[in-house]
Amino acid sequence: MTTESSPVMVATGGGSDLPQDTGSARATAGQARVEVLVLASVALGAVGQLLLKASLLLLSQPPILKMEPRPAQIACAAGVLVGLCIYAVGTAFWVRAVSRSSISYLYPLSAVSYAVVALGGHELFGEVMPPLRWVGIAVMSIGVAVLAASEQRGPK
Amino acid sequence: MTPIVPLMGSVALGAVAQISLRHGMASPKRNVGSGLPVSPWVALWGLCFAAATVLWIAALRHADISYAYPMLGAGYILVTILARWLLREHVSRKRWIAVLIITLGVMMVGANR
Repeated sequence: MTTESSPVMVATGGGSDLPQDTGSARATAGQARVEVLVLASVALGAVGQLLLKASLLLLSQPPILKMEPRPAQIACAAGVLVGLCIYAVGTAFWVRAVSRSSISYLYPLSAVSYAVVALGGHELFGEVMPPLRWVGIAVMSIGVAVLAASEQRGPK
Repeated sequence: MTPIVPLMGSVALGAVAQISLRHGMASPKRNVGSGLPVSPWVALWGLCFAAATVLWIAALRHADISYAYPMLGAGYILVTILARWLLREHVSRKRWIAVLIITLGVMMVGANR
């Protein structure tokens, strides 16, 4: 999974609190493409979701791991907390992306998250994927490709 | 209560949240700490986002995920319509087609068969 996020993206906010350099968000040097921001947000969101699911599975009956009830509860609570934090960082990337491009482009792009979470659930937890779900992921990917292609007017 | 009410409420509030976030990000005043614009629209985004999440969880108590999930697909069409109508964003024909394909895909992902 592509969770490698370059530090450049989070570092762009520094020192731009002067009133005169508002408006042109693209003026800052070293900015990542909005698609990269959306991808980072989707990847972090998916990791957060899957961690939440994994944490809640610790409390499942019968237990999937051989753990005493008490440590399992603590591990679950810790996992939920970390999962939510990762999710929050993903949201921060989303907010940064929204400040740079139109919502009618970005929001449909974020649909990739359904594919990532579904595939993650299948790979990590062995969740059953009905055939139509595979088809849905393929259809959605085509839609996202068409969407991305609709945006190619070159960098401004 | 039938799950369709919280479900549709969640989709509608989720769409309003995205529109207000985009609108709020246009505000020139930035909070130095968070980098977020000082705008009531950003606050509205937070509120709607939270309310949509609560409604979604409420809906899942009464509905199968395979029933609830396809409804989320409607959100993509709704956001695009609102972005065009309220924010006057340009939505090309290619983008409309892409949104319809994505919606179809999301609906299929939720299917149980």
